[in-house]
Amino acid sequence: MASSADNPYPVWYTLKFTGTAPEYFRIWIVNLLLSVITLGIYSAWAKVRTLAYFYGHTTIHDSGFSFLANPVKILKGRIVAVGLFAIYWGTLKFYPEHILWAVSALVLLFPFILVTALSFRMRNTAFRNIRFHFKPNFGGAYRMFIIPVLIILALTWAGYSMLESSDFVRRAQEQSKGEFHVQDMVVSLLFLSAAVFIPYFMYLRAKFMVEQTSYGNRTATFHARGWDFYKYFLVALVTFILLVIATSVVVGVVAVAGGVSAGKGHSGAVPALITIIMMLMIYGVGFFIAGYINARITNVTVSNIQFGENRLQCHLKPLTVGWIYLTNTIAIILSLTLLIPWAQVRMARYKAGCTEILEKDFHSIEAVAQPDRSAIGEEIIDIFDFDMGF
Amino acid sequence: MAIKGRFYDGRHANSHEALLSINEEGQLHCSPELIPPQPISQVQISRRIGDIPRRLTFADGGMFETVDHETLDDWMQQHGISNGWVHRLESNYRYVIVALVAVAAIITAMSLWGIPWISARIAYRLPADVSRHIGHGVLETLDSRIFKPTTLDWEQRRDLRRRFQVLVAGDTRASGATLVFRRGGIIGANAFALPDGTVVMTDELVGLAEHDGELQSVMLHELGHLVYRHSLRRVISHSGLAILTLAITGDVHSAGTIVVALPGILIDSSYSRAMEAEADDYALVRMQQLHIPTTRFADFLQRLGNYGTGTVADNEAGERPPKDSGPDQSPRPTWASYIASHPPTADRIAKFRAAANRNSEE
Repeated sequence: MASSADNPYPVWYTLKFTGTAPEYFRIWIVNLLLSVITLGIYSAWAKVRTLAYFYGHTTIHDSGFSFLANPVKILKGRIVAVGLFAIYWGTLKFYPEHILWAVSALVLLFPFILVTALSFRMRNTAFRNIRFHFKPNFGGAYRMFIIPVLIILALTWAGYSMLESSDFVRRAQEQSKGEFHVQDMVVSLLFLSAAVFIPYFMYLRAKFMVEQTSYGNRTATFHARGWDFYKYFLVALVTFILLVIATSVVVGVVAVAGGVSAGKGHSGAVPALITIIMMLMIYGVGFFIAGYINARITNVTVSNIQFGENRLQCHLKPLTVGWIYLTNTIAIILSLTLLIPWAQVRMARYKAGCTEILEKDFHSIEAVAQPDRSAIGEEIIDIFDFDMGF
Repeated sequence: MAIKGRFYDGRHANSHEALLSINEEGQLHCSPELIPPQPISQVQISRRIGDIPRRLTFADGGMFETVDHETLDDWMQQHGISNGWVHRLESNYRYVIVALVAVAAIITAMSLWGIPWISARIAYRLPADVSRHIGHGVLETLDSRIFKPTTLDWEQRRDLRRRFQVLVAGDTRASGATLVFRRGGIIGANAFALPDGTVVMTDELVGLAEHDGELQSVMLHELGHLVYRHSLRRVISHSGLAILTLAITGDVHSAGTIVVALPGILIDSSYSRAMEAEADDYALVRMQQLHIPTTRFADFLQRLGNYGTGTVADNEAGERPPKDSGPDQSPRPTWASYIASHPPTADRIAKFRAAANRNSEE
């Protein structure tokens, strides 16, 4: 048999992204035009073309990935998702007092939606004519979510009862002459408790997503630990605090130099200058913090994935990712969105160029039969912009 | 001529280098012979998208992958297999430029005219309850965050309320409107029409009035906002835009948010000017009917401009429901928002003066 094992000597191989901005621009603008004039109906086909484009240009040893979804299924899923979003939006705008119910329903449905979305996405992703597969483990998804949610609620409740019993609420209300709202405090506590859990939650999600995924008859395994996720968030947090301190110092210096002192009012130019400095620092460095988190989390996630003996490695540079975020955003704004294709291709090329694979036994991977799936979950995830973290 | 590529049997992930050739009758031959010869018309060929590898999928699940698009396109053309009209659009630069211009034109037209027009039709058909629902709680929010209780004396308030009720009684579309007074604090001299029909006037604004009729002109301007359901129209427009954008793009990614932001800004800029003008026109017509000199509004606008920080007859507060505007985004008109959202005061003043001149000539 004329079989050629692609990789008889295992070496790390760098992924390639072979798409170009001019090529993708043409696909993008035609997709946009057809979607606009069909009032969104064509967008299902546009999505398949776009994903197929990015998958197909991502290659390992000149074999590309394929996106095989049926656009009609995407359209059906999209109609359901847009309908749900319209209900959510209508509640937010016209019955804001009921929004808590809508949000709770979404949170409760999230694990279910995540699993159906991943099942659809993986089943329609193929490499070397072998499809990926995501095990529809609904119970596992709910178990994974329920514990962090319960802990967050418990922390909020504990914080609330502690503050209330310590007279903090009453004193705050007296001192602020009615400006202090208990609801605001509860919401802040909720966010604070959730923030503590975000890294762990991301870890659990990544672990769950990887461990249900298989390529042919190789199920993926995940070797990262929760602490790996925490440490990068801690670094980002410390950087952010240092940034706030630095900004305050700079603002203070400018304010003193400008002769603004408490009680004398604002002179016009100096407050504007202070605002500009703060915006530049917060926004400019914000891109780099986002880049840092994205790069580190992607690296630690991808580098800990293994399909049998076949390993992956990713080494995105945090500063480069931040720089790409910043310059992409500037380019998109200055070009009135026309450089979106360029920005997407640029990011895809950088990410592929930082990802490596070590093939050991691709030749012995075998396909596994699996049923067709609905795209509703996939579309809900997209429309509500939930981060699946692909 | 043969196409170089790789064959994958669909059962194993390993690949086989292979050559595919075609004969006169359209029979495909694979070398080495991994699949039996078969007509090209029975093979499923993936549509061309840019230069991504194309797949020829055979009935038994085997797949041949190639990037030799030129030869494959030739074969397909010879045997009447289409690559799809979408690819024809994408591969011709003239069509691409037409698409670009068309997208820009359609999005601009939809934001400036299409969505506002449809929103107005919807807003007028909806029962008044809906509008009231949006406005529900706005005043409470403003009271707790910005306003202080009024310090106007009781008689003055009763007097102004009576005048207001006379104006309301003159137009059935304005029925149910009520007038309340608050001390504006940081927002200074200002007036709002909340979507539930509550018109708020600040003590500072009342204090600026020097003539009879000036405050009535402001009341009429605010009633204009209510009669034309401006808040509701704006909320419907933004909701419509959001849903349409989602339907078209399918997702709002971080890079894509500006795609929504641009039409949103277009909608707002066309709206706030058109709405102020509409409310001004309403006030103008009714002032003429009631024989209130139209210069009163012009005088008042001018005085307000000199007063500095205040803005006249701004209905910004009612435009967004309370949940949407956090404490930091509460109506706090600054020079920037004033310039962005209002027709130049000079133009508005000129309009009322011109109307007064026409009247005196008649």
